Amino acid sequence: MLNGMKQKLAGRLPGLIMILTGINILLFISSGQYWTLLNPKYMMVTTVTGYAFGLIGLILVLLPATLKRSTLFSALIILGLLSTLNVSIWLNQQGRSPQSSLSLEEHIDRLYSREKLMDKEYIKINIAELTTLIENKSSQIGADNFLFRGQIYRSGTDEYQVLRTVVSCCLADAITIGLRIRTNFPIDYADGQWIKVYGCITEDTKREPSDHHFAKTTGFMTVIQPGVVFQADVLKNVDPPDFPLIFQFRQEEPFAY
Amino acid sequence: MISDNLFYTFFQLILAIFLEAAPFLLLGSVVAAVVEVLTDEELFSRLIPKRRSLAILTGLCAGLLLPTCECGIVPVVRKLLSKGVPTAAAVTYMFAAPVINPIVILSTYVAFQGDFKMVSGRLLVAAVSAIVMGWFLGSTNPASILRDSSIQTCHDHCCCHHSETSATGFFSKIAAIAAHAAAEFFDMSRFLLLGAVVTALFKTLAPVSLLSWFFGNVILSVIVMMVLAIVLSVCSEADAFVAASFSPFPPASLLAFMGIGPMVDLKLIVMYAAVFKKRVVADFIIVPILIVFGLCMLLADWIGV
Repeated sequence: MLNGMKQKLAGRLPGLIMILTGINILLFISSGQYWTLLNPKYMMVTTVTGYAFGLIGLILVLLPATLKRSTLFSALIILGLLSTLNVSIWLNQQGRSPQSSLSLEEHIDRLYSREKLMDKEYIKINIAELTTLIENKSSQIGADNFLFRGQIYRSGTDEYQVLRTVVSCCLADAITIGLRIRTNFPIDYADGQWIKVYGCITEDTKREPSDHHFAKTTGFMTVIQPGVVFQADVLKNVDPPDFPLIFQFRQEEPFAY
Repeated sequence: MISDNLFYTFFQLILAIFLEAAPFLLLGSVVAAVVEVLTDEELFSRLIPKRRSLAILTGLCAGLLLPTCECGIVPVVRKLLSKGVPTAAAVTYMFAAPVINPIVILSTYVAFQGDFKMVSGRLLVAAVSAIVMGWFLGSTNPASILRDSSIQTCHDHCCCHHSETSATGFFSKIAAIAAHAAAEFFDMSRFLLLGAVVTALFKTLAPVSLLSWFFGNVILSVIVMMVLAIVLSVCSEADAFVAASFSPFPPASLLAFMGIGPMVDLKLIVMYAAVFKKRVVADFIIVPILIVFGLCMLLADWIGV
């Protein structure tokens, strides 16, 4: 009888693992942390995958099948990895207050594609969009003022870079894109501080155009835009955005910012 | 969740790669299961031309009808080969489909701002590599390039009670497809995970600042970007955006990055090794590397240095 039960359980194990894998994928999607690993534009694809796991698992529970031991082992590893991910997300969220609603300033920030400051109008843009304009030699470069957000890092005695990480598909293709910034006033920021930068793109006369580098300041490969420097009029401290990573880039106003 | 902790980043990268590839691997596994359960060898011999050149052409265009990235293609090709699909068609399809499909063509077009040379250069590199591989292995018997352990019947990798021969009723066919898909998915996932671990190790530990030493020289930059594509294992549907962000590198090296990645990368090498015989895996790695390098050097002037 015990043997019979064991056999029954073994027959239903692949189905149960598939269902649990599907549940874990759906839990991860509903955790609000999807963006930390994947571009949210793929959320629907991942959701369908979660349900597909559940459906296949259900079929295998109703019509049992057993898997080779090594295949079963890899299924358990995957289930373990996904469960660890969800547990770590859950632990991270414990003791944290629910995300506060947006401040008035953030609401206004989202409403308009431009911002006025000291008689100048700045186009809101993210670093990926700005570097695309630079690459395409857009007529806006040199003519317009821009406002973007990023993390500031000291890169030389008098030089700073503002960086932000771009994700096209998943974290594995994450690349940090940066712009050198220069100011006519002293800067005193800790590395990694989120700031808003107001100013315009100028040619980098102090450096050769080929002088750019790849680093790992943010933990990801970093590419600094060569041949230009962002002349900043104003720098402002800000809280990290809801989505610190850039997932979206547009080619014209209103930019994704 | 984005953390400076190296171990945590490593863990996140493995999961990101897995979750990114999982939908395509599952889709590939379901397609492979459908092929296993619902088709017989006669169907493919009727559909696919016998002549090597026509079989290659079929493989080259199949990606347009069944778009897939490289993550899901290995199980499909394994199943096609074990069902007797001509090697020329299956191998050409395996190398062409991750690039010659509408999604990847569009993503390359968008990432490079409609740069015709980059899009057509990418298609050319993929097509030439796929045709050469298809022609090169075209005369071999499908079963002779698969590892013995890889030619699996229902009872080899799952003991489902509904093999293709016995799955006659509707429900037993559905159950057989589900069992095959699950077995195929978890079987290939082992290799996907192994590739993801190596890629994550590289991404967290490699001194990427060394890259800046190479971008002044076309030959070196092509080599470096090819090595980078192989170790980063970026999905073919996203690699154009990654390549575009390496704008300081010469365009030929960006083409090399997009050319080699969908055919040879760490996760694919591990999957190839699980499915194909050793000498075939060596061909799958060496021949595309030589072709992509050669073509990118030839196209360097046209595409812009």
